[in-house]
Amino acid sequence: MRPKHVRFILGTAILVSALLFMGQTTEDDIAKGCLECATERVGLVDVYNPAPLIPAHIVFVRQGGVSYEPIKIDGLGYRSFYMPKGYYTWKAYWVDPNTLEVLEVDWGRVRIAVGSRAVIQLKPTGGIM
Amino acid sequence: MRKSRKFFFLASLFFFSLLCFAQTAFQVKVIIDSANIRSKPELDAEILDIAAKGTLFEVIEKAGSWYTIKMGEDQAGKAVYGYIHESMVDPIGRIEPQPRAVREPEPAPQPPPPVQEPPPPPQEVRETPIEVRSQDKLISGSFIKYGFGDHWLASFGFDLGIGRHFGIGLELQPFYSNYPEIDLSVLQLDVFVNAKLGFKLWFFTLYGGGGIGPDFTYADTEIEGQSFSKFKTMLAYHGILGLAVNIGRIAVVFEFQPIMISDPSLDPDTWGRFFFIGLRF
Repeated sequence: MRPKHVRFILGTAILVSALLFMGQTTEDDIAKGCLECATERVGLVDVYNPAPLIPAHIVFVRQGGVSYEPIKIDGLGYRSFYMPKGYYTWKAYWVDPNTLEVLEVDWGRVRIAVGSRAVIQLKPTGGIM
Repeated sequence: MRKSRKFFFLASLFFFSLLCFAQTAFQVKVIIDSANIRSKPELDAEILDIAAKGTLFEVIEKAGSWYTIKMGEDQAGKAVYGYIHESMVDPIGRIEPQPRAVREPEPAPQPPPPVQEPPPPPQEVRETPIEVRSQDKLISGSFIKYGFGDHWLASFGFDLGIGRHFGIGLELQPFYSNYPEIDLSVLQLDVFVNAKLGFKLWFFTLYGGGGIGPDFTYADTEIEGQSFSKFKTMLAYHGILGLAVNIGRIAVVFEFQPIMISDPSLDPDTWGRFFFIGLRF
């Protein structure tokens, strides 16, 4: 076997190993989540609303266009719920309970892996904190 | 009797192999379109012939910046020699001086004229010799790619080769998406500084590496008739595993990239997974 073949094979092994290592849902992640989720192909999501008085609403859309009804989270409260595995974009907004005026928005993305647990801490930046 | 015949056969084979190795000449390959072969190792010497790109010559010796090359034989069967400047050729094979006595046993070839150093400004040198030419750098050139996976992504940028196997470069990944279900539009740009390592086998180049850089995201949304926008800057990093199929100076590339955008709202951060197809040139 010529040296260039050895280099190629060795290089392939190192690169593939590195890539396999990245992006894996580790056993530790699953242990922190919910083991019973595995059979349902779902993961656990915790959403925390740090605003002291203003309730937040969060809505998810899964890649491919499946959206979910807004979930309300009280001020300084959090909600946990199960989501089917997938890659989601979420949008949160804070509504003044008295005037029903939308005060602020936040958004982000999250991947839900089977059996894993993701924590989304909403980050309002305006005067509602 | 039979044993001695076998021994004689093996010994002959061994001797013949040695002879073959001994006669393996050190060669040079012309790397410019037309290279002058001169009668003396001087830039103003008579031009004996012009060699086309890719022509191979057997090297007799090298002195200074000039190779003494064997051009062929004349009508009388005598070897004809010429001189070619080192900037016009690439060496192929071993650099060590060759055992001339083995290669040119008899009759004695016409002795090459004494070698002289060329004058300092070599006017006809059209290419500056460098250790690794651009086409020998595995991670080098510009690229444009289309990515798909968690969502679509465009990608373009360039790599600067450092040596044969290594390269650094810049990669830009713009993305736009509209999510009508939640009235959200997102415009995003990732800028990665990449480092890559590549290995070539036949016409394939396998490469891998990673990069890090800022992620700029602008989101615009509408809620109950009100419009809101938000700009975020986050840290992004990614891994790269790719295969390039080299077709001449162009390569078709296939890549897998796990991409992480470190969102302070999210714990733990999650990897996005993308596959790319594109061209490198």
